[in-house]
Amino acid sequence: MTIGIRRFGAIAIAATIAISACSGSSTTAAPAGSATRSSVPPAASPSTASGASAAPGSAAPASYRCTKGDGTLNGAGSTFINPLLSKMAGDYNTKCGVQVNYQSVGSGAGVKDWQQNTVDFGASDAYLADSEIAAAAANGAPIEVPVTFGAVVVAYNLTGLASPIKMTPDIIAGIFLGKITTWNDEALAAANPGVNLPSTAISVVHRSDGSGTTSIFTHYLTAVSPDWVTTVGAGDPTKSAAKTVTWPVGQGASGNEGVTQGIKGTDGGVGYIDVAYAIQNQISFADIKNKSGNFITATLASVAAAANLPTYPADLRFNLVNTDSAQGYPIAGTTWILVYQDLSKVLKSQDRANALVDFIWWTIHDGQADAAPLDYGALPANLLAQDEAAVKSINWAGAPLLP
Amino acid sequence: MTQSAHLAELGGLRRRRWTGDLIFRLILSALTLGITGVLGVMMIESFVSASPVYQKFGIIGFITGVTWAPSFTVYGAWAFIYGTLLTSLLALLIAVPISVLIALLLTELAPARLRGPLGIAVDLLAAVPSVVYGLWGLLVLVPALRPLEQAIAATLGRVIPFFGPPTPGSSYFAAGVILAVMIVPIVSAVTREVFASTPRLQREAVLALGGTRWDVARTVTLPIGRAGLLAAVVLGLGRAIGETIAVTLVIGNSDNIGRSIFSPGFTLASVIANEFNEATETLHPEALIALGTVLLVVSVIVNAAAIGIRNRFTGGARSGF
Repeated sequence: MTIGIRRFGAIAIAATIAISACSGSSTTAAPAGSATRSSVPPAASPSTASGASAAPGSAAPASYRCTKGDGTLNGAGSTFINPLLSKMAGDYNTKCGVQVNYQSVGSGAGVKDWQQNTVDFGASDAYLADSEIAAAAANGAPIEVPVTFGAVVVAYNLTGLASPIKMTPDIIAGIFLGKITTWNDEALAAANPGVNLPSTAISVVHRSDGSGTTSIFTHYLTAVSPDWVTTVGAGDPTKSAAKTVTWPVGQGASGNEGVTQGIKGTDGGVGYIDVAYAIQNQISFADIKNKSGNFITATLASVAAAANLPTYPADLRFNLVNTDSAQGYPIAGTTWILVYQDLSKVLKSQDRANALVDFIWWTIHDGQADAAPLDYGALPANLLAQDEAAVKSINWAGAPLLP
Repeated sequence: MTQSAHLAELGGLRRRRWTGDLIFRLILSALTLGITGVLGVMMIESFVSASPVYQKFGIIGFITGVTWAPSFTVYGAWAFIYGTLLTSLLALLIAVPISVLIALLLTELAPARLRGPLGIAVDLLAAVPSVVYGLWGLLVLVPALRPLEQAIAATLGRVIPFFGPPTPGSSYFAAGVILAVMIVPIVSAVTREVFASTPRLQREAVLALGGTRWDVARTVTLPIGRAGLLAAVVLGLGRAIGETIAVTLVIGNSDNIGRSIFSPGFTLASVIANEFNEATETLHPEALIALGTVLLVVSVIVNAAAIGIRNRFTGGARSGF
């Protein structure tokens, strides 16, 4: 509430921006997105300097505080966010002289490290389950800050096709449940009129290691396929989705690299991988029919469109699969940075707490410029506002760490 | 005088030797007890950590359960026990005959000049890291085996489902082959030593009677080396059961029990390596720890059985263990 008032005060100062902020709550097309981003008031930045707001992707420098603490911060978790977070950490070290050590041990291990307070922050591709929050209750309430977006694509190995294959949710579920077994199946033919599909057998490749990628993909299948829920299961209902499931068909491989190798090595192979990986390695992937009935190619723009929800829940625990966005790609997910709200319970010095909060603040502002070049989605404006409120609620025994 | 001085000196020596021996013995005992103690603590610790799984499914229920579904909180170990036993058995079936032939070649047939270099070449195979074997398996062996698997599945597989489809390439069969390649150097090295130590007199006797090299191998080397050969097999089996990373890269990593030898599956070691990092579902980490205990027990049982078989063959006392 107080944050809201502060925001509106700031908007009153920046009168011209206020107009775009009013229209910012509606999820309009991409050009409006950049306008809404700049509606974040300068007063929201922690420094007294009047830096321009942090428009992700723009070169405009935002102000940041750069508390050094003892010069290091430790984090652990998601392998998905590792390339981005490593780049961010390097840039932050250059600017502020704080060494951020991020161990890409996997979301599950990262959550455990964070619960046991062996790291300053965790990073997870699935938001915390109620049971995980309860397990860390001794350290106080958690704050979950969405930092970036990714999408999962259905990649395949078929030669001689000019354009990407189109897939509906039913087709994807059918393939990964083992019900659609050849590439010229009726359902695939119906979705791809005029395409000469081969009679090659479909050879499914899935992840064998527990993975945030699997979590996003199975959550999508859970959302679109009742068959999937009954045969394979949705996993723990308080979590975003299952990271390890018993796949009815196909072979498992470890990591995006392993799955890609499995797809490439088999004529008729199909599997799910991170969009950044698919784009960088130039692998064919399917256009997927979204909730509005449009076939969407996974791009940074379509993922950003999917991530641009009209509202986000107050605790920032949300899913991005099968959203209402007309131009949004339907299989998308978020990575959260995990910290405790009252850092006096877990950290030794307030200085270190300041350093931690400053780093997180930087990742959701200036750090966002690192996202697009690495094929990660940047934060939309209305989510950034909520992220800011969340980061500002982090405190030291009740006293806010950010102004 | 001199004698008593001498005796005194001897006594001192004895005393020194005695205290020295005592300290030596204490240190060795502590080390030995420490190592076995670590094993004991490991077993107790893993049993306790996994106890919620045993409480829910029962020890027998867990071991014989055929379904492994973290999303439904159902855990059964049988698919992985099956995978471990099948791939290890396959590896032995392929590796043992090859190893014996290599050992015979290097001890009986190869020209003396070549024995050293050839032996070293085979031994060097044991020094290749298992992840390198795994990558070679994934990138070279699996694509090479796929046509063979498909051919067998299309012919023999029509009659016997165990050799039938699906044939994605990565499979129990591919894992068995890669394990065979990995254990050949160990089995052949030990076998070679055993064969090389057969009494020269008996070999020469066979040759003097007009026997061929094959007669030497058949009547002298193989019967005398039998105990050592079985010991080599036990060593190879131990490595095959516990091998993780190479298997994981070529076995196809499926939680289901493959109907065919050409279908993807999991071994105990590879499922733990794959799933532990992100094991966040209810009871999932506990179930994986339980699999570790099962792996330990399976190794002990298989090795004990192998030693028992060897002792029965040989009357027991011929080699050290």
